[in-house]
Amino acid sequence: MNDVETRLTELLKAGVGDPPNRVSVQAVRRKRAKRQMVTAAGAAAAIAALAAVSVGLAGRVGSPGAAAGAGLPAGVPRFYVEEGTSSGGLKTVVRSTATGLATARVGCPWRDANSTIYPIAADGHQRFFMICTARRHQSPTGARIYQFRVTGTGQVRDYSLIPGGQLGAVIAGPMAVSPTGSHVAVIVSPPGTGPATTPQAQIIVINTRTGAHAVWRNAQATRHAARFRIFDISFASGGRELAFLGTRTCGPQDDPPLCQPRDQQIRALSPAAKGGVLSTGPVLLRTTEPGKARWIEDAAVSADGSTLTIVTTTVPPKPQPSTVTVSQVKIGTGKHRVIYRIHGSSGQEPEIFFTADATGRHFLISAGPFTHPAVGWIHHGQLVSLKPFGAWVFYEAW
Amino acid sequence: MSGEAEGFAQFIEAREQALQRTAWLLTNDWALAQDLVQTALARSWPYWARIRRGDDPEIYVRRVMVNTWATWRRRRWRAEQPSGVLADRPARGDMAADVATRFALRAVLGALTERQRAVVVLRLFDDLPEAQVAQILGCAVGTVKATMSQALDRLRSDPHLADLMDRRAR
Repeated sequence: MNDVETRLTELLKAGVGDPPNRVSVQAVRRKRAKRQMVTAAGAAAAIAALAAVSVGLAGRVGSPGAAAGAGLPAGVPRFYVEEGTSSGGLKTVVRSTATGLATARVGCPWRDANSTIYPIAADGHQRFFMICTARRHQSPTGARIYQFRVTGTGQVRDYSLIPGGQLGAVIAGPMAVSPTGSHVAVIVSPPGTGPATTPQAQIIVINTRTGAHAVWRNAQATRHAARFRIFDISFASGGRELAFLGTRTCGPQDDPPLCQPRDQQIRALSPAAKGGVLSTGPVLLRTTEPGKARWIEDAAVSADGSTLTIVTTTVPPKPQPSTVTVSQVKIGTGKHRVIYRIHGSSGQEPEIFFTADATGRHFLISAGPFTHPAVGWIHHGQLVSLKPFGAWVFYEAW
Repeated sequence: MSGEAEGFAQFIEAREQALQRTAWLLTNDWALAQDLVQTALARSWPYWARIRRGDDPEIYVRRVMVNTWATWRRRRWRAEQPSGVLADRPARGDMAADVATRFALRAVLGALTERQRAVVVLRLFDDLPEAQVAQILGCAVGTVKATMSQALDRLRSDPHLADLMDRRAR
């Protein structure tokens, strides 16, 4: 140490003196608590700022339900509603199609502590219809259909119970909404069953203006009567047709040539009618392919009624992977083309969720292995991933 | 009180005075020095179990303290100036010499850059080896040596230091 250093050291030590106060553990703890509060407040402010930015971004994308702006092709809905585990636990949220950011949380407006939301469907103007089911000991005690609107900034507004929306103690869903929102169709089945497991399931078409119900049910169980387990429903031809995807059920007296256990049919009903028997509707598509492990998982009809979009799965023997194929069939000509295909796990049924918007042209899909499904929307044969995609999508609508 | 909490309390009890003195040399203000030490300790507490497993917990705390001080210095808005005592208080005897020394010392340290000031305080006042100073400042040992050399060059020609040395010599 040189002279300057020595003298400087002495001066530093002479000049510093003694601290007037001591630093105590309690003071440090108080400081720590204050820091945590400030950090929490800062995080909340950051989230609020982020939400504002996302809302701002979303607001620049376009108008609801119409042609989107930057980042979205024309006609693609700006927001979609997702029921899934992507936000931690099973939640229902509104998400921006462009950014994937959640803009609002959807709650069940029914003041019942045990109510759950399932499913949700949308008309062509970002008006969503949701079923709230109250449960006690896992059994439904009541189901109601509410509607709400998603604003241009992705917020949820104007909850209301639709006329005729009280369904009673039933298992309700899936559901479809006509493009104008004038009719809601929902599959209902008795408690303890499910629409895909019982021929007792019915399709109820509700006029959302008057609340009138039109009920479509299976024919009496007689020899040769075509009865169905119903998997899905969708409106077509501007709401003038309601298509359902069903699987023929075989009674004990049915002859095998007349009833194949994998006989799947898509039939059309008239939602304006007063209801009737499911089997009276004309057949749009029938797939009876004995020996082939192809299965129609879901179907949607385009708004003009000209095109069927179907989701099929094949589960070949190991080690080949299962395959999910989205293809379109021209109803008039039967012409078939594949628009998207994804491979799942070997030897396992893939998890699939599929839905179309009111035009029947834009599709949300979640398909593939349970652990890491592909989630997004199909555009020109490509999957546009929805960000952030969840671990598991239970239901989606747009 | 858990073992970790007890060890932390013992560390504060043993080292807070030394830390405050270092902090005062950095800040020139006892209240600010106290706040700086509290902040550094509060920031260190969540990681205390890991810090204690290291070679020297004080090195880590000093590093947090110096970094926090540097952050405060970079802020354009310095927030309020915390003070534990009223600005006006009775004098204790003849404080002229002490005040003059501190005033000069303040001017001397004020002539240095942030890093030079930190190196001088840690190296000369806290008597830490160059390697530890480098560890605290997150730089190379060579950088500490060079910074120290630059600081001394600047101080050699500083009239305040010469005046202070003369005063102390008398």
